[in-house]
Amino acid sequence: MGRLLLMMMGTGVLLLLPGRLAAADKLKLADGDRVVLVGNTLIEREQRYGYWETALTSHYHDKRIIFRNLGWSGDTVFGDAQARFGTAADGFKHLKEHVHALKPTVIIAGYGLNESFKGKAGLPEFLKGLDALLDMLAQTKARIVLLSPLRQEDLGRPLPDPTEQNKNLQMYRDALRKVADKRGDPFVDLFDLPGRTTRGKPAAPLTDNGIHLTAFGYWRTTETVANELGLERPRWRVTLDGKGNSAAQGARVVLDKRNPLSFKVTDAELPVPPLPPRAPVKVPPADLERVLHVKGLAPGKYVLKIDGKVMMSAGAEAWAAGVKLRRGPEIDQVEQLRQAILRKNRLYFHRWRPQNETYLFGFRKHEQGKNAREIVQFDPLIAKVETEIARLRVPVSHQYDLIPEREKK
Amino acid sequence: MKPTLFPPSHALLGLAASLAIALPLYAQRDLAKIPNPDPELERKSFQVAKGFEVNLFAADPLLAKPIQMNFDAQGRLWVATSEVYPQIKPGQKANDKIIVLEDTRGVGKADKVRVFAQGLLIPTGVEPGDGGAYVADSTDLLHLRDTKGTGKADRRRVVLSGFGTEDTHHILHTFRWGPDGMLYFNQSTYIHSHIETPHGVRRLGGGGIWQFRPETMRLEVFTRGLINPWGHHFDRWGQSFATDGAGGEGINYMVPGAAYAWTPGVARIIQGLNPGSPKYCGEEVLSGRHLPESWRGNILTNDFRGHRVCRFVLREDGSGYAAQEKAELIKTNHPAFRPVDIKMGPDGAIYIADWYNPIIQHGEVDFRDPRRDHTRGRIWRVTFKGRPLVKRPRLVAATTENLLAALKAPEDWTRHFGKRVLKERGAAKVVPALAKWVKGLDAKDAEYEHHLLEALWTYQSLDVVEPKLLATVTQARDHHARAAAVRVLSHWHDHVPNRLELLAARVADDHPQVRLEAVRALAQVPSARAAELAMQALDRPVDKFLDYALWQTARDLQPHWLPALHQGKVNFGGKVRRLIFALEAVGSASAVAPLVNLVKAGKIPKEQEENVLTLVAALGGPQELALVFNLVTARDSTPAGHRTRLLEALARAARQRGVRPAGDLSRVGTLLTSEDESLRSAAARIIGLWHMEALRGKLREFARAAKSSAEFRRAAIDGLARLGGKASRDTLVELAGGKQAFEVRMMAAIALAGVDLPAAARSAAELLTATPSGSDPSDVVTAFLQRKNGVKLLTDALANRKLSADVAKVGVRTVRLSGQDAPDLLDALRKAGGLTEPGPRVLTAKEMRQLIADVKKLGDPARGEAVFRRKDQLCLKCHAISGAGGQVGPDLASIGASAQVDYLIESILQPNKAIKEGYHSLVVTTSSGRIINGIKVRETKTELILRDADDKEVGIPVKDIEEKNNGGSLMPEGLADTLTRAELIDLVRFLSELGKIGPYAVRKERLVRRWQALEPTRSAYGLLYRTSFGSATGNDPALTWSSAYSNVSGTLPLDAVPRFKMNKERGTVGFIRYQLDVSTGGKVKLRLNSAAGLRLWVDKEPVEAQKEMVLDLASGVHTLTFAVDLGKRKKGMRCELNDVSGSKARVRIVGGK
Repeated sequence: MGRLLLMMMGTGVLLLLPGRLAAADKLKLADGDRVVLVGNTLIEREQRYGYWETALTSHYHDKRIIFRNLGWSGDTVFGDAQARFGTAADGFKHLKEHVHALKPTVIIAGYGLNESFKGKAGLPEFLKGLDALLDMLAQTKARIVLLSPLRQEDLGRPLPDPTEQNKNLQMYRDALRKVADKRGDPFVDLFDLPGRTTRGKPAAPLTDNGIHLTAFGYWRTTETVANELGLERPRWRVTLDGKGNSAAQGARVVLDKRNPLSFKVTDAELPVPPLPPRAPVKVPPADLERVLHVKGLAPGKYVLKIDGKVMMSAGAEAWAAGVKLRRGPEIDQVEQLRQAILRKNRLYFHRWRPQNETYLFGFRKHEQGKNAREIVQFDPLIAKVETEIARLRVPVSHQYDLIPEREKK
Repeated sequence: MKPTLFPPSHALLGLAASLAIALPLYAQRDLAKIPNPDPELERKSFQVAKGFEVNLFAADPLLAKPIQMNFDAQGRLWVATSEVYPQIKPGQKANDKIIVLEDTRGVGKADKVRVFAQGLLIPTGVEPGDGGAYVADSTDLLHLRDTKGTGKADRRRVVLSGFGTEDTHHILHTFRWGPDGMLYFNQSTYIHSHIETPHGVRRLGGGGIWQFRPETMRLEVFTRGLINPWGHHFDRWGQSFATDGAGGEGINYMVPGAAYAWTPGVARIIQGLNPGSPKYCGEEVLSGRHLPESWRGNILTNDFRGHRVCRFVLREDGSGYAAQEKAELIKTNHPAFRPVDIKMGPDGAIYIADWYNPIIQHGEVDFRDPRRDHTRGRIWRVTFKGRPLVKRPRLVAATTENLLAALKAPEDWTRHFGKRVLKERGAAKVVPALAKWVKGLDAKDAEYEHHLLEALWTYQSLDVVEPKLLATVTQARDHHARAAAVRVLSHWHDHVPNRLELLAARVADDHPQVRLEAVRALAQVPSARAAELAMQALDRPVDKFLDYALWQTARDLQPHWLPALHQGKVNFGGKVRRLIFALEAVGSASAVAPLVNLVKAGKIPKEQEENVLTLVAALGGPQELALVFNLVTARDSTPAGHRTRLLEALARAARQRGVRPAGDLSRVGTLLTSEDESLRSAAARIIGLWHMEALRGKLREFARAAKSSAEFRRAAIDGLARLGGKASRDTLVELAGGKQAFEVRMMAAIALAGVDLPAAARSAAELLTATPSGSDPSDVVTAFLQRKNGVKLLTDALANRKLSADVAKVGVRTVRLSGQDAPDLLDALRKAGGLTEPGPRVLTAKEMRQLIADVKKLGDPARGEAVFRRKDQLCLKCHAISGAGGQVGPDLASIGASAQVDYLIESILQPNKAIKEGYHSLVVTTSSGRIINGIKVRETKTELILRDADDKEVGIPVKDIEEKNNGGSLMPEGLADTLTRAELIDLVRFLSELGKIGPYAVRKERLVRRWQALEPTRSAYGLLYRTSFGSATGNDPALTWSSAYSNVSGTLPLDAVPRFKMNKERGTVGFIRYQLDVSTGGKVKLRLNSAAGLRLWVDKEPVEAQKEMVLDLASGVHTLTFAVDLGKRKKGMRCELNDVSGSKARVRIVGGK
């Protein structure tokens, strides 16, 4: 057990210290950091689901950090997908201009899937391209994090059998890791994700085509990304002994001195967003559950109200054993945060990769280039949503009340 | 009233300028011709083909801005709509919709409307299927589903992502299920897509049609190219056709894996079937019992610019097709009728999506032009009066047996959706019943083979390989069925062990269409053997489509057969013709060695020798070039023309690749005294290119000798310039000096520009000062426009010079025609020539309003056409109307119907303000300091080809390109300077009538529009005096032909025909000719407006000219030459091409510049 917990019983105050010190070195974000994500569809689609970004944002809720996603479907370390009317070299230049203009302090790079289809024969070229890319990114002085490609899931026929391709992917993953180690960059291994089988159809697939994460896929992999980046995301456990003492993990609890079943809870950081609709699992993994234990209750049913709103009801024994809280204002807030992040990402997409680029900035700009003035008008809109994100990422204190349910007469 | 010169006087300008401050560009709002949006008024404006009627199926506010539509198996119409187009505004919520329209009562009017999905960003395609609908949502292809039965999509899956969005009228569009169960969708020319699939990443830059099987996620490119292909449909036999919303070639026949107009980086394309057409959007092949028989199998498509729904009759033509336009289904002058999509419905009627907008497109017209409509849209339904509708099939609830029975329906709609429903039921349920159905088919049924094909397609849709049925259909009696089966085999080949055996039989098929399919199917089989088999098709007649298919297959399979050839493992059955074809197709250096071996072994047939040697010269190294050079110099028996062309090929190798033949080259000197002038000239030039200093003396001698012919002197001077150095400079300075004839001085000054630019500038300034009247010094000015620093040096050299006003005018015109921005040089020319400054050409809002009003009130289109045709106006030099005219600028056939008057005026006065897509120039600077300005025609890895302002294609080796910049329009500014205001008004009025209903509408008749007229040069007179008029029929190099164009109504006015004043008996005569391109031989009818005063030759044979004549023409290009007795004939020439019933002939009139 790598966690060191110091519980201060009786005062209702919990202090959480980080564990897994080695992992914590992996990536620590600081106030003012500018995180830029680059890569292929894995990165590009993250901005549409936002689970990874929500986790990082809510973990560092006391810091001003901005995230900009420059992922592009089909991209490679050579810049193929950003070539537009030119060559891959032009695409690489395009990426460079945009990354450098953002003055990043942290860059998260996710490449390798598209390159891996060339197999062993393509590996030397990939490594050369990767080096050139990392050198270019390093010019910004940003800390660089490398992501591995995902294992291709076998979702059965008529989709392709991924056995051979997975050998390629593994080869590219290994190569990426080696490069990261050599350069001293953190490496996030997404290849062998928890709960993924290496053979046959997975019970809870993370993709719908073998290669691209679904909403659930991003939700589920958030934990891996967070762990690999060394984020200490505490479990949420609150225990009341019914005698005026509390113990809490992942939250700060202040008991009402007059009423041992009335208390204020402030999360250390916002919880994990709710499972996306139609996820292949019905409940979150045990680690991610928010569990409230209340011991020493007189027999009978008790209703939990948060901020005056009824959340659930359970018997005294159930409260003593621990009840899982799957609703609540904290969960609402984190979902609001994620939605704000998605809005910001959508606005930024229109800003950095607008439609009609040919007319706005390309070789027909003498016709419609005047409309490019609209594109910068996205900046204040983005800034406005960033303010909303800054507000939403901070946990707030909520009033919890456990009230005995009156017997119906 | 005396016509005032345009632009108006300065006094008026002062007033207008102050008004302009108060009235910014938005004053254009007042110009809008915003029609009354009442749908009934719009409907009443329709002129409908005889027997048809139109009713409103649905209209705003039920739907706004329909873009694409498709029916589902229940007969509901799904429509993709966008109010956001063309560009999302900052802060605007993307809330575009998919609408489902339902006619529950079956009365031809939608009574139920649902918003299936919203929150989309410019959805440009929708196709229902797989329990929901596939939707194009900018970068993504989505599948949306309603799982709760609420009528609204509650599930959203990103199926594919990474589609480019560089232009929102080019993004992912035109969704269609194919008969094979695959989803087809298109993208247009500015789009670059990068799509990740579990089979690997797929990339497509430029236009093209994708082919996708959702359940396997296999995505491939079906065809590449076309500029904006918003129409694609399959005929009854699975052949497919596409239309192009930005191209000008009408219906395109789609061959798997082929490239079409504007495909980046390819050396060859397949042309459309109707060059000279306007642009078309949407497409549907007609079928079914509701329509008259003559309409079934026709293609309908929309001329959205010209407010027309157009009809084409499609017929087979060898291995491909021919399409001929007939009278429209609908035409109107309603300025907002914009038919963009067309589909047949379950009731056998025709449905048309009307985007309803006075403003189209967004490249030329501001995104935020207030005249843009964002809220309206209509769906029209067209029925044939007096013919019963088709009973709406009930497919979704039908038993599998009934669905199979639906595969026999005469309506494509029913068979298509029957197959869709079977596919969605899945193989397990369907296959046993299907097998039984096939067994139970009656082999005597006239449709038996079509039923078999439908069964085969059902298997393919289900993704179940059925080799036995496949083999049967590949041997059907009907060639359509065989061709379709071969296409199925091309997808199944991995699962059919005897694929090569099956394909070998079809390469030798009796029908060329089947041979073409087999040749393309072989391209899917990665082996040298497949290439060898494909080339066997060369043993039978090869037409242009099949020739392309063979060429593409040879290239596709090159990685397999070419190494095998080098290793001696394949020999193409020992048939040299097959081998040569394949090697020529490869067109890369690796093909040279085998070709050289064939040359050395003397195995090249005589008629192919020149092509082969030219290719060797184009690709070979020094040793291979030496072989060509030896043949040029050693064989006196070889015709001089042939030798000249080979020498020119060697010159290109030196110029473009810096490669010279190995060995002693001094023998080239002997060619300088050849009797043939062209050969002498080619030799003189190559001496310079090869830097043969030893021959300098000879070149100098010929350059100086007054008795040398002009062409040879020019070549000698060019050769000297290429030799370079001080010696060349001195000679050229001397030749440019006063002693020589003016023409020679010009040649020398131009050549000098390549050796010593400052010296050339001094000579040029002197020459321009001394230009005798009647001489044209424009080439001298051009020489400086084409060189780095040339403009500046010439400008400086002109300081303190005096030029005649005429020379200065020519200079100004030359600068403008170059498309270059050189204001200092223009000033210098004007100053030296004492020309006054031209007034500004930017109109104030008030001036613009006045001008528009005058165009409408005073403009006369007939006078305007005369202005347009005037040689000094140069319009036809760059613009064609219906395919006749220059290709530098856009075809103007329907410009009046698509563009507002203010846009026309601005385009003339300020050509750079808005440029039609594809007409942007590139300014290329080469490493040797040359500047070339032109429109990109195509670009391969090694060469960039531009079309310059003279309509000439200029090839530039990519490695020589130092700088490439975007230029503006090639249309020169100031063209209107020489027009009076009245003339400008007439010209604009004429342009504004083009394509509208009336005398300037786009015509369906096949009329000769591009003629060639014989120039009355001295050598032409000489030849005609000496010999009979019949000698005008050959391609005698002594004769010069220039283009002459019919007016819009289709008549060539006789004043456009140059006159030969012969002697008394022979009178005053003009010679005109045109060409017919015959793809399938047979009889055709020609109809003249009158045969008076005409003599006619078909090729070299005299034929009696009659008002109506039937000619029997073999396939190939034929020239019809007329001698027109201008004393006798008063009427202009009008010549129409018509079919002869029962004739197989497929003929196209050759148009162009």
